[in-house]
Amino acid sequence: VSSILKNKEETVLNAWHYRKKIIDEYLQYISFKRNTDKVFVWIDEHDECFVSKLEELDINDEGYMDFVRALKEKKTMVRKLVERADVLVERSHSFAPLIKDTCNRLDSGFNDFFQKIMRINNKEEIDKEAGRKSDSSLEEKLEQQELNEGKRKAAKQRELIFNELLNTERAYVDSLSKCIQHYLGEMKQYPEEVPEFLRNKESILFLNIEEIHNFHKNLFLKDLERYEDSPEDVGHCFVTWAKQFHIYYVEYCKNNETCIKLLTQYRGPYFETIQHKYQIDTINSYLIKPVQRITKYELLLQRLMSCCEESKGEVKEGYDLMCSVPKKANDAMHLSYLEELEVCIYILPKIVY
Amino acid sequence: MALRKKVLLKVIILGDSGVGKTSLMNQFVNRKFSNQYKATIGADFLTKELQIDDRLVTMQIWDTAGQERFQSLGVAFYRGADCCVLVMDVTSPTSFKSLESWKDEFLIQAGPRDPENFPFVVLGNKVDLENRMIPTRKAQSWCQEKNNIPYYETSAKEGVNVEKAFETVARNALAREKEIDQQADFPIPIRIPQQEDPPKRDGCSC
Repeated sequence: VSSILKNKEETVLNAWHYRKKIIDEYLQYISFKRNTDKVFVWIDEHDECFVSKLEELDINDEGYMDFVRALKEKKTMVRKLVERADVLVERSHSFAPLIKDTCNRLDSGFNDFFQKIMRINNKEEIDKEAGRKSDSSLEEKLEQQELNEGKRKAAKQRELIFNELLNTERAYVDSLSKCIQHYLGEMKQYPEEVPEFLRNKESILFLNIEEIHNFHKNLFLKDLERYEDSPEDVGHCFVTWAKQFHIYYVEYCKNNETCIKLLTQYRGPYFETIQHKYQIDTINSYLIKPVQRITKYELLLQRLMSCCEESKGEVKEGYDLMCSVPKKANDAMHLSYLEELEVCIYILPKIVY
Repeated sequence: MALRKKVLLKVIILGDSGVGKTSLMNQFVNRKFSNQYKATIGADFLTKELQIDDRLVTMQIWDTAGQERFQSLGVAFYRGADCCVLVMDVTSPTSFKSLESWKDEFLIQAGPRDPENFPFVVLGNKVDLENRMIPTRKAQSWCQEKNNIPYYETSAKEGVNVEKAFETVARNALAREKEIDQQADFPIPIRIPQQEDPPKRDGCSC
């Protein structure tokens, strides 16, 4: 029943994801369109009559300066919009043709206008302080180049961080598989070879590691792979699975102590034999993996956040969640230490007397 | 101690973020340094086999990123460490100041027996950079105060002293291992009272 439920859950989630993607992309398109329209309205307002007026204006005139400032602003805006459009189209956006079209219109429309202004501007430049003006336009260009580069770098960085997240996730799933397949598998398959001391203790040693493995392999990793083209939205993946993270990891970390204690008490060669048989790592280093892994998401998301625009995607939400899960796990572990202590205090007088 | 077991040494590497812990590990184990994208978390641990005199030891070096802020999780993680490497960046005074708290933190969380003599090694990394802020003498005197911790100046980038430093790590960890073996201070396995007739359960595999 649980596997059927899980399958159904997955199907629903898939469908939901797909719908959400379409809607998100439509929203992106709308906001893109709205911004382009703004630029066109501005161009219309300043075309014709203003341009003719411009020729008469002195470059030191306040109105002229305002205009230059606004022009600069609009230019940056257009550049940003074009960049954004490129990113969206590259990502095989559902509305790519529409975006491309709008973008081309914007680009050529603005360029025409800009050229017109520049022609007038150049005339004046020749007339008046030629050097100063051209310098400032050069500066502007450099500035823009830097801005462009910054954006590209941030996008590249996002991609690299996402790849690290994905690759380490795959490695994690792989490690859990090995642990389950070899250590737990061996204990289950050849129960007669399990030393007395460890017999029937699988659930103490491995806790819910199988559940954790299933969750990461079948749900989380698959979902994560969907964000390869939009790393800035990956926070959503963590939001979707927050509940699972909380339940599985608090459970695991809370009981990990008992497991390690059992392993320390057992000093025979049983696990070492398995280790050598399959050429894998020590059992301890596998059993600590979930405890380790749960503290890493936070670091990756933090770094991702530093190269994502604020208020975009859900990276911040994902980060907050991934801070809270290890904290809860840590508290649960702490509590279990304390509980153990209570038991000891309770037993103590009996031993003394 | 009739049969000499193959030695596995667990080494924990600690220090502020950005001092080059992952790079040092990578340089030592893979002899690689990457100037490009620096992984945030790196591998959980890397292993390397090493010949120390007549013994072949396997060093398991653990990267700690992310675990430090959670005390209980840290306990699980530091447990059984044989040596702790404290790393600072010689161009960053803050990272030097942090050494003290990293050391304390480790001792509190790992709770080794005989903390006074627990083997630490301090590495001053990034000596290839020009804007150095922590002079050798300053670092050395700190190490001397702390019960003569060995100090090495390394460059993970150029591979300077890395090998040597980790060899010392292995040696000191091994020395401690021997002492402990002699003290035989592992907890005695608890004997579970044996049942006369252990109930045989035939595989219900659910």
